[in-house]
Amino acid sequence: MVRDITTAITMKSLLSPLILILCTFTSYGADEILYVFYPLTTRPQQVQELLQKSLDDAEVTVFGRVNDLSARVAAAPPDAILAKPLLLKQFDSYTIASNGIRNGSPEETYIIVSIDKPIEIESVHAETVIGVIDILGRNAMKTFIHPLFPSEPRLKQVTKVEDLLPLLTFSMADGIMIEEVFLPYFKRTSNLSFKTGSPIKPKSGIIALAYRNDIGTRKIAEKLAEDNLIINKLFEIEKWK
Amino acid sequence: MEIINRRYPHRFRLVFTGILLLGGTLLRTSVLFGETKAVVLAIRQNEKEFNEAFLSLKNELSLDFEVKELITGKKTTPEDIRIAMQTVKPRLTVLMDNADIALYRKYQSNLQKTDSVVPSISIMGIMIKDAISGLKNACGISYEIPVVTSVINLRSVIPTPIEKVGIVHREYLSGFIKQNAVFCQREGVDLVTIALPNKSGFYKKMVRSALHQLGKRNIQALWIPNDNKLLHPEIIRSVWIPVAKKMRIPVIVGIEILVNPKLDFGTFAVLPDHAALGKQTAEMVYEIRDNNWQCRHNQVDPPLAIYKIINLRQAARHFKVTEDRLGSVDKKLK
Repeated sequence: MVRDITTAITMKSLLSPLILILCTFTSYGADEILYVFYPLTTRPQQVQELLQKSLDDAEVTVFGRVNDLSARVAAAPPDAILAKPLLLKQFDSYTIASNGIRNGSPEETYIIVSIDKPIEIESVHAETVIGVIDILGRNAMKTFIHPLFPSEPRLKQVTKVEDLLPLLTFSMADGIMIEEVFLPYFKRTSNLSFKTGSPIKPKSGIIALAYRNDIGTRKIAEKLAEDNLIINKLFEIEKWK
Repeated sequence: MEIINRRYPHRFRLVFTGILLLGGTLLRTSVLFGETKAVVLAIRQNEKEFNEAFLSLKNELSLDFEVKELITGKKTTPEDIRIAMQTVKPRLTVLMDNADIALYRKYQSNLQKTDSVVPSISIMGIMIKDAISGLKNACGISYEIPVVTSVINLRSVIPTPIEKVGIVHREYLSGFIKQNAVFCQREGVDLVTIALPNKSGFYKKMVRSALHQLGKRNIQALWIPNDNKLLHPEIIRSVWIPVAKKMRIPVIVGIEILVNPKLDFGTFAVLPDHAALGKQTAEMVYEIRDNNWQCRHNQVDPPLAIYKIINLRQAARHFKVTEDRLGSVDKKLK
């Protein structure tokens, strides 16, 4: 009986450091935790599946709403976040490591889409209603959009790209401000007579990957730099820089 | 957050009212200390869908508003609404469903002419436009998904042309259908409709006859309203399912169970997205605040976001739908 206990204690004292070493190695080789918020015409769940397949060294969570992402980042900070650069700047403890490049530029081009008659920036006034996707949070969206126009338009903010279409269908907005790459989606989905204004280039960036400042590994950034075709096609970019 | 559940006995009500009063006092105290968040009071039942919309609303407004709720039940009276309004002193109320709109209407009708009327946003009720008619400083978001929204979403996943959509409905929906016919026309879709009387004991026969008539008019899809008279289980089993099978056209429904592949009936279900509805309501709250707490003339907006479910087993077999077209679909049933 005494021998059994002694053996058990000896085994325990030998196993403990081993477990500790194993845990350290496991932690070192662990997947990076990645949060993603980037409204597309594809549902977040499917974006998550696609990204997870391509980023095998990451544990991917895709959010459908900016508030959900912000709350989660505060509660359980991930190793990295993939989102609009403007949004990433809201998270103090994260630094951008890589930017998505489209048509040779890291800058996004927006357009105002309306029905029958195009809307130019100069014609926007305080009563003009513009629909936008909430990519930054309500107040930050106002700060982002208002300087782009001579007078502050009234904004109608929605969650998904497709939710902008009813704003035009039911005349709830005079126009919608979208990333230019989404125009084919609207033309494909609806037969309405869309008109577009001149391109708007707010120097806000397209998409970027940011790492938490205390994270030393860069597995996701390395994977993105390999120019994975599935990921690049999903975000409609050519490469990461 | 104060909660009054009207299903509880009277003495519990008193306790809850006390909590409400205490909350109101604390709120006034916090105002004294410089916190000036306006209060939004949601009057609602304690059901899953309402909870989902409420949580999203609260989440969206939390930065600028104090969001409180009054949980209602069968025993709630207009007097309970009056007590809550007096205690919480909201700048705006959100009324969820027809029963709560009716209660609020009674409360509002008892107000003195000199009393200020708090704006209200009504959501998640049937025919909101009619429901809030006569209410002062009221607006809302309709719960019915517009036909045009359902049709263009179906069209984006199904490769076969959809230019003529058949609808069998009761007369009470005529206004809604007529309005949607205009939107559909702008999308290049004609609605072929047959209206049945609001009251009848012969719906089974009428639905069968209406579907046969529609079948002869070369419709390319069928849109079925959420009408419990026309969707009586016996009528579904003996009329809708067998006739729709013969027609071999996509069927759009508004209830998930009807796209169950085992039924082989509905092709595409379009349902309200309750979290997004909360966000849309929050947008309306901000609009009303920016408009000096005035609703824009009983404005009722359609819902912007929807939840889509496809019966992929049927859609793939009959309409050549492939997975690559389903990026925007929330749920695929195989």
